Amino acid sequence: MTKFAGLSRQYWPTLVLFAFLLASWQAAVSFGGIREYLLPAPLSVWNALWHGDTSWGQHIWATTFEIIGAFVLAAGVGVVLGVAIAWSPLLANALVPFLVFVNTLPKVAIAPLFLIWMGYGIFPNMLMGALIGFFPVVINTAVGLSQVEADMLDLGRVFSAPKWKIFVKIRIPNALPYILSALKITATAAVVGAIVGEFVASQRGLGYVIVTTQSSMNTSVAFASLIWISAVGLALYGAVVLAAHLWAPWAEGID
Amino acid sequence: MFRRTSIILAAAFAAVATPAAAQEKFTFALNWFAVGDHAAYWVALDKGYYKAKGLDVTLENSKGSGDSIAKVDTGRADAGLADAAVVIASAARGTTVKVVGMVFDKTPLNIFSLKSKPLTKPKDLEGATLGAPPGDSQRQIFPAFAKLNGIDASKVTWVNIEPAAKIAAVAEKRMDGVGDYSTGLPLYEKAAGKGNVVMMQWADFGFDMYSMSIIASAKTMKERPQVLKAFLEASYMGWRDIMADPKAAMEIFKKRVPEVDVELMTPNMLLGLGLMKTDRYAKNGIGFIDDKKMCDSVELVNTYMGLPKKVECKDVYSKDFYTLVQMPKN
Repeated sequence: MTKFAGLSRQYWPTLVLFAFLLASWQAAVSFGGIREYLLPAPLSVWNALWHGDTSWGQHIWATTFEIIGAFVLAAGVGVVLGVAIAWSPLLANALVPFLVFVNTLPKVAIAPLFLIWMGYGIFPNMLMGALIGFFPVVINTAVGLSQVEADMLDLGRVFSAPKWKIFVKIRIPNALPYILSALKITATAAVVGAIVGEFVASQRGLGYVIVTTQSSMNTSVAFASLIWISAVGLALYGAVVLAAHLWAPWAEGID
Repeated sequence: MFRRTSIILAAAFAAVATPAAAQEKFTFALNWFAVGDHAAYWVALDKGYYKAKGLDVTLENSKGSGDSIAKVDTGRADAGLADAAVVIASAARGTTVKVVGMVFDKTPLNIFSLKSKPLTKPKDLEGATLGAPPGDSQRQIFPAFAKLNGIDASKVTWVNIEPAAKIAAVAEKRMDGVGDYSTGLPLYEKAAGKGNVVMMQWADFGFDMYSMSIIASAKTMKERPQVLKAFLEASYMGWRDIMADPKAAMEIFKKRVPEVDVELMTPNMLLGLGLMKTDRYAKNGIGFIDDKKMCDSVELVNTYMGLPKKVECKDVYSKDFYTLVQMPKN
């Protein structure tokens, strides 16, 4: 079977679903008499995307930059914390409750505080995204590093391997699929965080576009911005899936 | 047997069919969380003005003019409070609400800044960073103000900011200024310190435009005109009572909305009253809409807010529901 045939077989149900939703949407607007500012027609959203006067380039760039930065930050910090927790029970006892606390804080409520402490712009939004997205990485890293098959650890002990060597040679490879799995969640969280940050204070970005056009009831542009946001989020998610395929192919089929 | 059943049925029917004085349900969407210029409606409610006219009024909060306009337009509310500029602009996007009563007669549009870097005259705005929540009237109609005062609008940087964060943004010097109604002064002074807040009131620089107004949906206007008229009259009576005795009014406000900070809201409310105690209202009654000012406001919006289509003045307001309520003489 060709690659294309294989892909079509996998994705045709979703394409049908999307086509059906799009048709229903157009029908609802055309025959349901819904006001343009409540639910714009697919066509006006299309126009807003390609023929409108919004300069999408700068907004897409700003938000994408924030999302990638948030992702990298969350991944980096998350892995480091996960390693710390798995390495030392003392650190685990100290850090885990605190991290849980931080994670449960509603970030939307913290965002205005970020504005006061750090001002507005790219970096505070990156931090917001990282704050929302780091926790799954921490937990999954710690779990992946700890839940190793007993046989593998015994093998290490047989060869009198020091703790750090067992860590690097056995635990980390074991953890890789767990970490990559968490990063899929982090990809979405980074998007949410960046947009939340932009809602609170921003000068450019896709969240900025949504919030300013929505208030002037220019809903089709707001929808168009949502589409761009999904595109960026999907691209990032796809990148993580690709990374998983390249670095931990043995673990495919976890999700 | 048949006769007895029909008598019982008739009695039951009669019991159900004679309701006690049927109160008309009426939902009024306020434009924000409790602020000083909402007190009038709570006063009218508390003193039974609505009830006396057969209205069972529910007052609910909203998240800005855009939200209250949408509520009224879709029927979730029968009438509401909204900024006139936003109302006019929304008409270009397909809403069918109309301005049926006016709140502030003088324009409260203003820019707050700090004493450390004061923005006192229009030219100061060039090179400044200003924060404005989405849908903010200062932001949306700024091109008109800029043209009137010879400001190069491209040299003014506007930053989107969440309404909840705007006061903190300027108090913490994250921005040079914030667009907000002049009635907000007490709140800014609380955050930045008394004597630290500088205002640039647009009315002082020749800008005259309608702002906070009462709107109603096409449906309410068509199907329940008497109810709408009664609501407006009772509301203006509430305003009248506030003008006559602001202190008592604030007590009622606090009683009805416990989360109101009386210390902040009293000056806030009094500033609002200052915008209503005009000759025009004194002569024509509270809430009077002046045709020329209304159409001038529509023209400003048409010219400067980049609407998809032109809005006709007569399509966005109506004086049909107006009842004269005299301002108290003081």
